[in-house]
Amino acid sequence: MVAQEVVVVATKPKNTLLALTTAALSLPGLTAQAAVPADKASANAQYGHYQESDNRMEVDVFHADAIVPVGEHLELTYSIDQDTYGGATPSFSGPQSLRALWVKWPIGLEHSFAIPSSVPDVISTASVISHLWGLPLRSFTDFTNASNTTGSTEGRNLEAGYAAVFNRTVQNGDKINQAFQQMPTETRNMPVLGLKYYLDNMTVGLSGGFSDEPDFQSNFGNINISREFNNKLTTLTGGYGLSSNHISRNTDHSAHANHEPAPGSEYPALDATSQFHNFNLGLNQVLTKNTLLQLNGTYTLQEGYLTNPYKAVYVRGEITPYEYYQHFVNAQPLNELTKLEVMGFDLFREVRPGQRNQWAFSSQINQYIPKFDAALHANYRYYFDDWGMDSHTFEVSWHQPLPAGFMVTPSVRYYSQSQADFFAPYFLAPRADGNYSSDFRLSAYGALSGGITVSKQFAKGVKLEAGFEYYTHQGNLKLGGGTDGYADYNSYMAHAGLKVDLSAVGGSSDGGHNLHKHHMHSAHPPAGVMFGHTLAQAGDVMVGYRYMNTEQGTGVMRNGSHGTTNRAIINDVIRLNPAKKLGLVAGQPCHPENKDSDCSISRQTNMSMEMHMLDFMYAPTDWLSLMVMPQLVNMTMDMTTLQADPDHGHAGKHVSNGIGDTYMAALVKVFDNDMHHVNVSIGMSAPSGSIEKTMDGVDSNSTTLQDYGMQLGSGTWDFKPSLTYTGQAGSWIWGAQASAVKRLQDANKQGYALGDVFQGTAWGGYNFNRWLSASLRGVYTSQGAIRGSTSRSAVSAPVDFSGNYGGQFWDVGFGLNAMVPEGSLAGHSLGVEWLQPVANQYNGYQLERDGALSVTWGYAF
Amino acid sequence: MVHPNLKTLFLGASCCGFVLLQGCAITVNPWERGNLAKPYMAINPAPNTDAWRQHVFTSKEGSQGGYGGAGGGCGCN
Repeated sequence: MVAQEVVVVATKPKNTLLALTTAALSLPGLTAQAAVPADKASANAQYGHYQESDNRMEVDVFHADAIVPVGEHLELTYSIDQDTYGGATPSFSGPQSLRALWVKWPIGLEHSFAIPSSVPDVISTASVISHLWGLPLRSFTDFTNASNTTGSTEGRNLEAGYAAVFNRTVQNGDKINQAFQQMPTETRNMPVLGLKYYLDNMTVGLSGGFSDEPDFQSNFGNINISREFNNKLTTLTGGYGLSSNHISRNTDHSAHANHEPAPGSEYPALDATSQFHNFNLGLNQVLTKNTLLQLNGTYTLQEGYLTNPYKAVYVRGEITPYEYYQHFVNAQPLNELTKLEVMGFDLFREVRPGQRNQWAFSSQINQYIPKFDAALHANYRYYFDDWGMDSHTFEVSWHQPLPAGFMVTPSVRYYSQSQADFFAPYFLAPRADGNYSSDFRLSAYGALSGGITVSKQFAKGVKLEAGFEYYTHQGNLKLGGGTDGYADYNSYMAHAGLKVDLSAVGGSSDGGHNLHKHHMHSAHPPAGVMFGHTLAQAGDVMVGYRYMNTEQGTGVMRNGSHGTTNRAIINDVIRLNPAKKLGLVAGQPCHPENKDSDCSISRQTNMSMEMHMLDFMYAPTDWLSLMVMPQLVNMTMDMTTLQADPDHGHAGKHVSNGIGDTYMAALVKVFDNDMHHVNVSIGMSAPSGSIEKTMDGVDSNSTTLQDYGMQLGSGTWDFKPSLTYTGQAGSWIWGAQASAVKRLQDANKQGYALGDVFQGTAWGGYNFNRWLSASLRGVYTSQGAIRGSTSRSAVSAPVDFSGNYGGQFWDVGFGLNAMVPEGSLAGHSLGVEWLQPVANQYNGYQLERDGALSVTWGYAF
Repeated sequence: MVHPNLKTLFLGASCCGFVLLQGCAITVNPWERGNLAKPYMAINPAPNTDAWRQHVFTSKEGSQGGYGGAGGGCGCN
């Protein structure tokens, strides 16, 4: 804890507790909106993984934020969240006995039921019965067949057949079966910008941002004001937030791939909006010197389209078998048969009210336990809304500090909710208000979860944290007892985070000269060089961020070192995959002789890869630096059709996002004097990146994979050695590096291994002044073709063939490096480099390389 | 459903009022606030971890809100 000078009217503090006193008055936790801004910047990076049982929904969440004080009163915050999610999710549920009659929901396909796009949005006479959407009965003949068992297909006997079918499906208390659908993998991005302004007793916070995913866009803004009273023993907080949302739905077609629609034209199937107004009021109160209380209330008004666009309901209508018979056989209009809107066995999209008023109240007590130097946090929340739901949430956590900067926090949470008025697992009668939902999240159930978080505070303002929580959702865990558990499931969430708080570094603002001396005589290599520099002395820490963007955007295809033609590409694809046939008429859809064969051939026109790497380096001794680099990868590729096949075809935009391979390295100084520095890096790359990104975005073992270049990792453990030499004399700097990537396995899970890589590079540069230098660099790279191949390739474009990877490449790099030698930003360094290809020798057919941008930021202390 | 809710509301409001009144009578001198100043005595000692958990809970449960602060929407409900 850092003692900060705070303007406070203290009542004659006369002892050594002054430090604690001032700290107490400035602590951020005492009031959620603290009285003083941080005096230095802090930053967080976090990764979370959520996984449901039975291979259901899976989510990866990346979060990063930075808090930067500007002057004495202002604090700026920036955060970015990226979620990537996919997997099976419940779509609807129905009585089990009906299941036997359903064609498209056979036993054993629980996880792959897709709601046809023809399922109507609105439950009305007009949309019902005229066709059965292929669901849930095979066809009208099911009735006929059923009636056959009664011996006749005519008249009343037919009706008896209907009755038999109906009666089998009507039973109350029937077991409930849940159908699932596979959701394509999608990515959500949410940047948020905020500021906080600190006045004497008051803090004003403003924030705004947007959340963007293919079927949901949200813009939001929040304002929060808090005021301290009563010698800072009491804090009152009030706030308002507004979210404005646009909702669409992926259709059967666009769900068919990581094919995102063109910007501006989101999924076309639905075009709806909603607005959320959120009001909150909070009170923090110090009760004793060991007890803190917080009370909070929020009211949220949600208006607009609040329905889940992917959920369906099974509704059995109020119509007699005879009426059914009349409708089908005698074509008697429905409105003459019944006044009710709904009838038949059918699936509909769920409908929720267009308004929801939500109230939630929570109270929290934090109790310090002197005997253990620990804190107990207990929280209770009561929630209710005008959809007829209420819930109780109890949460207890124990915060136990341990020696060596460790903190262990076990926690338990219990949650219980009642069901919404319009919820049922299935509906045997239509509802007068027209609202229906079978979403398990609106059902009555209870959930119990327990977890543990461990964190370690390092001396230099760096904190690492990891946690795990297991969660079980069960119908019978509801308070007061629940019923059947048809929707029960379990899940876990795991997270790891890194926090860097420059305030906690201590004294680096004025005493940092010695600490950062090494930057003065050991200049960083250009930004595109990895594993090129080490830390100066034992105990040093460096935290950095590295961004690399590789573009292949000219749209020009190359073969070897030459240009090529679309015709040559088509011929080559046919050579590599003889199942493809040449189109009969150029420019026309091709007509394969065998109707089942697919003659579509396409090629890539644009590829872009972005890598965000987090760089964490620590020197346990003077001669050794250890480094860990997790990374996030975002890739997009555009395809164009060269030879169209009306039945197959494959063009559009592909995306793949997620965590990439993780680099780990030990960097050893082998020679180090004033002029020359040599280090050896022994690195490994762990296969944490997915190699199973599929075309349709569905995580299954059978669907077609995206091409090799669009996978997020190599799938193999890779050895990454490098040898780096840097030198300096006067204002001149120079260096050279030899590095390699050797795949340690012959094949990954998909049966291939990326080619090995060798790279040699040398550079020279000039220091213009103490903080800025420029560099010029030459790079030679040789990468082998892919060995082996996956059986799940689309085999219809150059990128689908392993021989069309790798080659020999010559590049020139132009770089700038800046570092801050002293002052409050001492220890920061920033590098930018552009790599320009000058000569290429591609293996096979590849898209022309455009160049690569590298940006690095580092902070050493 | 409505009546118990109103009752709870009333109880909550009374509770708030009570605490506010108490607040005026409480004296914890600045130099007695050392324990309260410990980082793990903060209302929310790990805001990022908390945000991550709440993100999961609100997208998997029917209830939302109640813990102060406000954020943006997602299509996860």
